[in-house]
Amino acid sequence: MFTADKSREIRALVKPPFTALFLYGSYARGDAEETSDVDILQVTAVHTAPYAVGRLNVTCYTGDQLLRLARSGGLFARHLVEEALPIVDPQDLLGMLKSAYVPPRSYQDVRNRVCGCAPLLDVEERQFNENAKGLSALVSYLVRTHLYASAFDQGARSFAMPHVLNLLGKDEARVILSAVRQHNYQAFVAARKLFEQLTDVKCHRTEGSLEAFIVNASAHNDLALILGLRLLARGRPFTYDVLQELDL
Amino acid sequence: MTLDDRVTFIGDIHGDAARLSGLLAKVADPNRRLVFLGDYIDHGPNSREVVEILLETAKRQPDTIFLAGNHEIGLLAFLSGKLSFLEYAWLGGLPSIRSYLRRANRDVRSELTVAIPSAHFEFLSNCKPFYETAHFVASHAGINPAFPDSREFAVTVLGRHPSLFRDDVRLVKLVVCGHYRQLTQRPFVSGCVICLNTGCGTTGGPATALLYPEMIFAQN
Repeated sequence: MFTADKSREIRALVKPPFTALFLYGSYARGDAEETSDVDILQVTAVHTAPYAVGRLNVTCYTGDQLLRLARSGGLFARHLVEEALPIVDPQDLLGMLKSAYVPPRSYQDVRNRVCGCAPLLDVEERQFNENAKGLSALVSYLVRTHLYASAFDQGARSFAMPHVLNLLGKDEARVILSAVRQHNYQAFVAARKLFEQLTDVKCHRTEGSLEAFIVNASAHNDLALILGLRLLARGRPFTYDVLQELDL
Repeated sequence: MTLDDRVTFIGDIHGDAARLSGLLAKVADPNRRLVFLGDYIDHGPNSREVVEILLETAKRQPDTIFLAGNHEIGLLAFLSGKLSFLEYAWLGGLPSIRSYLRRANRDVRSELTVAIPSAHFEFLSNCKPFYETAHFVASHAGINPAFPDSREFAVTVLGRHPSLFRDDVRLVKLVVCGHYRQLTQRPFVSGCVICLNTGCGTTGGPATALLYPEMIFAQN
């Protein structure tokens, strides 16, 4: 239940300045579990890096960026227009996003870009241990994005993962997605196998380094470029401008 | 009349070879000095081709001035190991790498070092930090209005001086610069500052030239 107390609590934790604040994800839907993160969208006047405060995951976008994403019908925009709850929204940005949102005919393009990221998951245990958190988050993001894209093409009505998995007949994936948050190699390997089953793509990198893969992939896959650079950055502040221009 | 009495300044190109070629065709005049304001590479798809065009231009008009932009310095810093792969990628360098390498295999820096023709490397290394006459000072990032006499590399090539664009800025000489992207895709013109970065190669804007002292602008 999203209460006035919860709203005040979030406002106190978020780093100003902001022009609007929204809650989205499981807490906005009302199906959060004990371990769920609280997903917050902070609308800012200028590009701002995402950050975390306790269980709060704060994603920052400018209003113009959000309107662009809404017009192109990206998954993130869909997330917002279908689920977001305003915490602070004096100019009714959410209303503007809903008016601007145009759903795509298909999410095939999103799935193609996700498949193109498969080589990023081609790591052995030693490499995994050097960036366990980043690689666990990566495989989770890729699997979830592929699942959402497939589910909405098959008529899904919500981003609630149990609903998505049930629709796709993949209920067993829930345990795998939950385990990957433990950041251990076995859980990562299980999630990578799930990714390969879903996409029918092997996680194999032909280039001899992550840098070389990023160079080659950047010509045609903006998602592989950004996620590859994030892996290289390993948690350091990431300010590449195109990060928030991705239409996903 | 000397060459410096009639100058054609050309703003940021950022790997857009087609716009550069078109602009050069529009403003071609062997009786004027060409002054390029830097940022020839990165962001756009054809950095290698842009450098080729500039080298041909230098052959045709040997008195052409090529100023250094922060992106030329960025590529040189990546090649020498002063900038990491990640930092050069942040700067917008991946399209430049791809323009020289058909395919990256393992050690991107070493492969790029081998792939860049020596003439290109020399060109990038020999770009000037600023160019000044009795009437104007031209540099990629302009000058710092708070210290108008400083011509330090960190100021004219790598600096960032937003105060150049304030209404109340007063300078003794005309400052002609690039670097500061004009979202209007039109050149910025005030009494003492002209900026010719109109988004070529970055936001899809045109390449822009200024014919001085006539103060005629050309775009392509």
